[in-house]
This record gives sequence, C-alpha cells and structure tokens, in this order.
Amino acid sequence: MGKKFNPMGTAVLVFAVILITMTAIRLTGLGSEFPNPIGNAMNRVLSPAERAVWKIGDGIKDNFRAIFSYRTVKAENEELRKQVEKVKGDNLQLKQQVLAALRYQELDEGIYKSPTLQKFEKIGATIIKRNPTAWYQIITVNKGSDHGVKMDDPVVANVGLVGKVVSVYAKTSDILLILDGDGQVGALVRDNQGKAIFGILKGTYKKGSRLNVSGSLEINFRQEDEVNVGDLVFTSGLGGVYPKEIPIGVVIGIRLDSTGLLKTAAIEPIVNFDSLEEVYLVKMPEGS
Amino acid sequence: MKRNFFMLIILAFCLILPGTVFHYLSWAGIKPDLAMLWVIYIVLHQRPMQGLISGFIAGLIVDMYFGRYIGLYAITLTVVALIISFMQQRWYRDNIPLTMVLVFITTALGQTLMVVIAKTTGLNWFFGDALRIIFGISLYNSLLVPITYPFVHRSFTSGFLHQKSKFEQ
Repeated sequence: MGKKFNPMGTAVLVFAVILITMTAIRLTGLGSEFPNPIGNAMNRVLSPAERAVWKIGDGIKDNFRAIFSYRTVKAENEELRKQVEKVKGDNLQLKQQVLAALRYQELDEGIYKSPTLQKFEKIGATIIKRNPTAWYQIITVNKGSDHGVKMDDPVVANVGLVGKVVSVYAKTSDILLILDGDGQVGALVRDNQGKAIFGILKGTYKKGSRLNVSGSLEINFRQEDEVNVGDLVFTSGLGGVYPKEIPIGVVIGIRLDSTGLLKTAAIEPIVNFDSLEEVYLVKMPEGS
Repeated sequence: MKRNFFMLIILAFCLILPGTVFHYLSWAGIKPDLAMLWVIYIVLHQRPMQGLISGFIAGLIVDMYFGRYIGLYAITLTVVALIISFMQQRWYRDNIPLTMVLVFITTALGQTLMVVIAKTTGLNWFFGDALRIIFGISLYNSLLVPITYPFVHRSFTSGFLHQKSKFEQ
C-alpha cells in the first residue's frame, strides 16, 4: 500500500519553504554581513581555476583581436598615438596652470586641501571573474580580507570610479559596479562656471552592445539646474562611502521629464568596464 | 557516490565558466545560465523526487557560491526541476531539437520566476531589460544543447553518470 498523500501537510510545507526562502533572500542581499562559510570555501577552491581561465581567455582574446582586426588595431594605434601627443600637451598646460594657481592663497586653501585619492592607501587587484550571471554587474578581484580589504571600500581604476566592495572573502572580494541599479553614488556635476550641482547617480544596467556601455549611468536633476552636455561628473563625497572628487563620467545627453519637474542626464563612464583588468581598492581611514 | 561527485564537479565548472569564458562569448551582457542547464540535464535523467532534491541542492550551492540572495536559485531550480520532472514523462528525451525546445521553455520560466521572486522580495534590480535578458539567456541555453546534450545523455545512459540499478551492482 502506498503512502497516504496529505494535501494540508503539503500545502503547509510548501508555504513554510517559500516563507523561509523569501526571508533568506531578503536577509542575504547585497551588503549583508552573512558569514557564508561554504561560499567562502568554494571561492577559495575555485578562484585559482577562475584566475587561470581568465588569463588564458585574455591571452586568446588579445591574440585573436590582433589577427582578425589588424586594420582596426592599426587605425586604433595611430589614433591613440595622436591622443597621447595631445594629452602630453594638455598635461603640460595643466601643470603650468596648477603652478600658477598654487601661487594664489585662496586657491591653495579652496581646492588643494580637499580630500583626493592621493591621500588614501590603495591596494592593486586583478579581476578574476566578471558578472557570473546576466542579472548582476559584479566583478571579483584577487584581494580579500587577508590583504586588508573591507566591506564598502571604494574601488577606482586609473582614471575614475569603478564601484564598491560588497562581499569580502579571505583571498577574494566582490565589487558592485556603478553600472548596477543597486550601486547608487552621491555625485556632483560642475557647470561651466565651476559651480557644483548635486544629484544621485544610478546605473541603468542597459548595454547597447558588448563593447559599448554608453548611457549606462544617469542622474536626475531639477529642471532649472544648469547641466549641459560635456559637463564632468564627480563623486560628491556625500553618503560616506566614496571620497569626494573622484571622476565618474561625462554628461552625453539630457532628457526632459514629461512632468516638467525633472531632467535626466545620461552619463558616459570614464572607465571602460569591458576592458578593465586591474583596479585599486581604496582603504578609507577609520571613522571617515 | 562517485556519480554525485562527478555531477558536483560539472556544477562547479558551470559556476566558473559564465564569469570567465562566457565573458568573451557574451553578447549585450547576455550569457547562458549553465547551472540551470545542468540541473535540467540532471533532472531529465532522474526520477521525479530525486530530481527535485538535486534541483534544490544544486540551487543552494549556486546561492552559496554567489554569496547573496541565498534561496533565490534554490527555489528557482527546485521549480525548474519540478517542471522538468513533470514534462520528462511526456517528452522524448533522445530527440535533440525537442530537448532544445524544452530547455528554452524551462529556462525562460526559470528566469521569469527569478525576476518575480526578486521583485516580490523587494530587491533593487533594474527590470527595464528583463524580457530581453530572459529571452537571451533562454536562447543561449537552448543553442548549447546540440553541443553539450549528446555527451551528457550518453554519460547518463551508459557512461560515468549512469546510475546502476540494484541488480547491476
């Protein structure tokens, strides 16, 4: 004789499982301090394999790119050489301007004493995994709590903001990119007179193509705010996670809200997230 | 025991590959959900109850590996296993085009369920692209069937993943 099926018991069991799962999902979301020893052990075992696969993949990609896109690579190279020359010139000009500005006491006090990344200790890290599913915008790097990485540490590339640390393991850490809808950043835009306009930058998670991430960030402003295409976007330092004045991107478009109250600026990130290989984890001083 | 160990090793590969190899093979940010594909394959070759348990355990392992939203994959893959074990009895599993259709439908249902759960639990996901992502992942998973399924099916029916009956042992 088979076992008797108890519909009430089954319903209660299903309900309990759903309730427990929903609570667990909620409690172990991004930024939670869930200890996860099994995940830790898995990460420790699998991260060397991931690192190896990543290295092989990068090697193959670079070689194939050079072979199949020889013309593009050549044109790109020429273009880059021209840009380097231009940047060298600009850099020289900027240095001269900085030296000139330093002569003025008010500028010395107003700008050069503001906190910048130079003041903080940074840990260099290599990316070993990217977006394990299509739903997250997360990368994993090869530095963890053993190297002094902590939750919410800001992450930057050579030129701009990348995101923040959302999970720390012994040897690895997960970084939530600013492109992700969850990764909101207190930002400011400098208008043409240098005046700061504050807003909250949000990732929209939309990617035009594999190689193009333009328009994947946006900020809402009031209709009367003087924001223009080409304005630079920096971190505002408000919110306590990111230091002030880290470059984020450039305004590439402005869309007016149908209600007439707001306008949305589309931001092109300065960092090219698709070709990112190394990042710096910024160690914020205690109590900052 | 050895069979379960092999299944776990393959699941580990399914976790590593999307974040590494498939970064280069993704298009518009879309990559396959190999863990879901592997659970579909496992359940297709197991008894319904066994399939459900495999789906839940595999889901829990995926959740632990990702380290966040623990339970999201566990519940999704259990439901996927439930759907597959229900359909498996009415499905000709040796036929590759049919398996592709099955994988497409189940992946789409599984991914939709994930979106629904995420929305219900109040996760701050951006859903503007949800339809495109669900369709993309389902299509990618089903396109992987002709490359992977013949080997997997052979392993389950006569290879190292074959479950020996009590009389064979």
